[in-house]
Amino acid sequence: MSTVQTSDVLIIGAGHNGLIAAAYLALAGYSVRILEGQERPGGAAVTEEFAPDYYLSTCAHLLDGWSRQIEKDLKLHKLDFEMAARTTMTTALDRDGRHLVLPAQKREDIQLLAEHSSADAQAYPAFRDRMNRFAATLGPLLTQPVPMFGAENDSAASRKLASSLAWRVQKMSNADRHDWLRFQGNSIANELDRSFESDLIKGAIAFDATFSHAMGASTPGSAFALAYKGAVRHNSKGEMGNPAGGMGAFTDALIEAASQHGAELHTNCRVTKLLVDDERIAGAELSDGTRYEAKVVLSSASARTTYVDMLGPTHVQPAMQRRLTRIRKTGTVAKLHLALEGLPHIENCAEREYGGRMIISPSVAHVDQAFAACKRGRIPDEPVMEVFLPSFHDYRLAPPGHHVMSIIVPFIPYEVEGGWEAQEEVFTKRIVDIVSTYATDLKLKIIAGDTLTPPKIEKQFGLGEGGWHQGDMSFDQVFAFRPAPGLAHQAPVEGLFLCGAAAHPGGGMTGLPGKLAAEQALSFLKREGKDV
Amino acid sequence: MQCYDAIIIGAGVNGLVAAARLSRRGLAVLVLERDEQLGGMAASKNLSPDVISPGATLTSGYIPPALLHELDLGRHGLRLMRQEGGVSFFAGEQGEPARYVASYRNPLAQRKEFARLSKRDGDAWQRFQRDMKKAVAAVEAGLLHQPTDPMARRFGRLKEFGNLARQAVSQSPEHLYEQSKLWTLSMDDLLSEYFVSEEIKAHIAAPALVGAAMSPLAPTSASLLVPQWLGHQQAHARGMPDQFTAMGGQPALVKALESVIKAHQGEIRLEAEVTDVRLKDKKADGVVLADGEEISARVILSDLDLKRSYLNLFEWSSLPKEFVEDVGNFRMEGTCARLNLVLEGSLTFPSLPRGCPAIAGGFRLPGSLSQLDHAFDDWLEKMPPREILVDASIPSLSDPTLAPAGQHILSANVQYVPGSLNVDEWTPARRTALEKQIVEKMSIASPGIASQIVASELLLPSDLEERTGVTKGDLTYGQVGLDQMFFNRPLPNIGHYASPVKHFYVCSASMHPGPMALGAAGSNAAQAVLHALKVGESA
Repeated sequence: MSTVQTSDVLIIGAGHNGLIAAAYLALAGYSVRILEGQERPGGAAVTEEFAPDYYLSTCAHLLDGWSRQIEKDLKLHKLDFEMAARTTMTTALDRDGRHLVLPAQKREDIQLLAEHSSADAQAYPAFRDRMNRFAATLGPLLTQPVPMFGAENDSAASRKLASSLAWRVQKMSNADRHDWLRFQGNSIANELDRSFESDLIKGAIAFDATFSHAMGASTPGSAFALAYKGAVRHNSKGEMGNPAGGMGAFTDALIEAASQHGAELHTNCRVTKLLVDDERIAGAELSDGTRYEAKVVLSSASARTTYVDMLGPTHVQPAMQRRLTRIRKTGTVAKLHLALEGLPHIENCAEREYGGRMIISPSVAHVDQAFAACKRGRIPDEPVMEVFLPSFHDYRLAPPGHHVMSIIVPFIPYEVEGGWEAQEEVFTKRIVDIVSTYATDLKLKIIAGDTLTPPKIEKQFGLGEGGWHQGDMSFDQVFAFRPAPGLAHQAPVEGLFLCGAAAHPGGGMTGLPGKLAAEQALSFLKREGKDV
Repeated sequence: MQCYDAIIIGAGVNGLVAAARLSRRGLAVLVLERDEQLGGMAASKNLSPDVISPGATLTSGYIPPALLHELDLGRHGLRLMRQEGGVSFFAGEQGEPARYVASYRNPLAQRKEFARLSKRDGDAWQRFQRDMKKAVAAVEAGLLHQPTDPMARRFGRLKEFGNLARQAVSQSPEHLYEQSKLWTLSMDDLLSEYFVSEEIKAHIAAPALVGAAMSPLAPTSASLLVPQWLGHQQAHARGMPDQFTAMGGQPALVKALESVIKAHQGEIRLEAEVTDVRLKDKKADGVVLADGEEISARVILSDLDLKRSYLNLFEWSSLPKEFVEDVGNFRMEGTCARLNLVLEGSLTFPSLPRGCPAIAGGFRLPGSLSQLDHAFDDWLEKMPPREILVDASIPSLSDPTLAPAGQHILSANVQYVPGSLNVDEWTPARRTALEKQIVEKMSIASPGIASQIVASELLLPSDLEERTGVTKGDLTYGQVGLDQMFFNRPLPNIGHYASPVKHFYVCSASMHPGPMALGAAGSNAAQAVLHALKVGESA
């Protein structure tokens, strides 16, 4: 037993969600302490020098679905935070150089689609608009706390949310509503087959729907996953930010925002135990025995880590523990970083497309095959992937004229047949080979590279088995069922809140779980303040 | 010229149920069947000179008791018997005898059986059974009704929908979860909430998977378990056994239905293929046969699947364009092959205790759930199956009249077998290999089976399509994902038993409740017709 320190609020984990929660609470005048187990704050949002003078966002590489509201609330623009590019476009790469830009908004984008299939070019606007309408219906649910369930908890706010959803559903056209009902339970493969005939567009949309989830394109519920992602993007008006200086700069700005108002960040502080006093949270204890006392604790660790490992069995019923251990994990993801001597040449790739994300996913079958291989512990023969050149818009990341390439590869198993030690090279070579079929001079331009296998990502970022979202956002694990049924509104003890991806509205770079948790904690603190 | 009240195209079980219901109400009914015998998928064919094969339907056929009662099938010769649950076999490790899990009707016996594999699972069975019966009760009540359309826009509907949403919100998350998990979870997730033994999970999952184009690991696949639990509540109320089946199988059911129709002056014509539905002022008013004969009727019912009903019987131009597209998008895909065998001598199951009654319910070779998931992925890629699920029944065990003395017939559904292959096609060599693979798998349960085979017949999905006319040989008449069940079946935006063509109804399992209950779709369609023709209760 060593020192005891007190504050109003303790935040466990200095990932973007933890930092956002900290900033909101500090802004409201509470004393906040952030405990980060790793040496470096930022969680999955960090920039690293992976080769001398070449920098990259090590884990997540885009602010997809980032909430502009948070940016305004925390006044990030005053903290030297800027985006190298706000709207990142998406291109589906084609072997024959007939690339597609998605979501195709302009006439020339549709024209590109017509080169694959004129029927698809006709069908596309209807599909896109329908998805946008679904997103507009679902979207507002993600920016607010999940409606409180149970008659005794029925609040005015949740009644309002329920009626506003009812209103939005009623506003949809007859055809849309029927379609929506069918769509939710279906697989994205089936839905795409209804609308399109070209493999490339189907493959690209299926990639987006299943990205970092543990589901294939033919898995029922993958259509819902796309609708959910659409709703997330709807809230950010489709922006996909590329922060100047990489994701680390984003983290730096959040730390600055929090500490400006007095929040204290402690790194290398691994919390092993939560302290409880009379069914109320009392603080946290570190691995070295240091105790931090606080009125509320927000944890950005997963639900299982927070409730089972840190809180312990006395506060969590066995049935609930079993449920927590069965939370379906997200799909595993690997990354490859390349330092390049110059811009690689991709045939027929317009300049604007170099700065965007490029998807390599030639067909729905590629997605399904990758998922099937991953389930059985094999590296897919032809992995699907997202390729991004952040240095295109951001000179800070590489020496003049040089570039860095960040490749995210979903459906890579955590435990691979033959072991990662032997397979890492196979994986790297396979990815470079595939990208080279599109960027023909890639191999000539590579100066250095770095492969992050799922176990490495787990080790570096503390993400459970390399999954990024602390539980898939499938329909049995969202809204009132996130992180698990019965735990959406109430932690097992009072004053404890989840503020990471495990909380509504789930993983990704929205920052919303942190914001919503901070709001909940604030109203809790205010209630408590009155009682005293 | 004679004008019938109703013409029913196709004499499958649903068509016959519809015809029986209508004729009992005094309507002049004509059933037209393209084949030389009744039954459609339930029709039996000669397999060897003395043996008839038991048709191609899915083995588990739950008949809503209300339907049996209403059609008075008992008086028309239908005998029911208790359905046994069957046995699942699993290959033993290296020379060890096969392991098995059996289903018994007696609750204590069942509990002991599961406890033999895992003590915890013995206790869990109780809980599982209770939860499933409760969850399914709501579904059961809706089987013999048209499903309500939650999205229908009617006057005052906004308030109603708001109330519904508020009602959902006022339930506790626990309650909501209990209600929704059957429709959202995977079979594996749901079963794992109760059981630890992989074999028990596979034993419960296997019969539910037959015919479904879904992996047991896929979200929403838990809903496939529903049909197994239908009938319990009603059965208890009527003092009947939990699950019963027609003695003599579906051919016996077909015979009883035929008897009902004939007793009420209904007409049946065999070898009469309907090629077109005749339209007058955009309303159906008769049918055209292959030989050019035209027959008039006030309403037409089609027991063909949704695709054939509309895409084959009509000029596409006479139907709304979007409707034709939607029907084209209706997902039908065969997942199941069928192997019928005539066996000499009685089958032996050495690993099973002597006289185990459960074997009368057939035997299965499911493998593990993850193997089944692998098999499904192969099917998705249209590969010849590497792993198979075999669900075999031996109808002659409970009904010896089906085979000559000293012989048995066995018929097995084999899942997941693609109708067409990605590369190449189903060559004779490939078919032989598949048959061999199935027999080899069955020898895990009954090691001598290969030497007992007298005659055999392997029907791939394409053969089933050719024989029964159902698109792609899909035994479920349209895939049973949530997007094609209940209010979404067959299409979310058509008024269910009504159709865009006036006086034309589809009465096959493409309609609600699909393959969940035998004859229910036919009965519901008949109800819609009676309503439309304003035939009152007393008529």
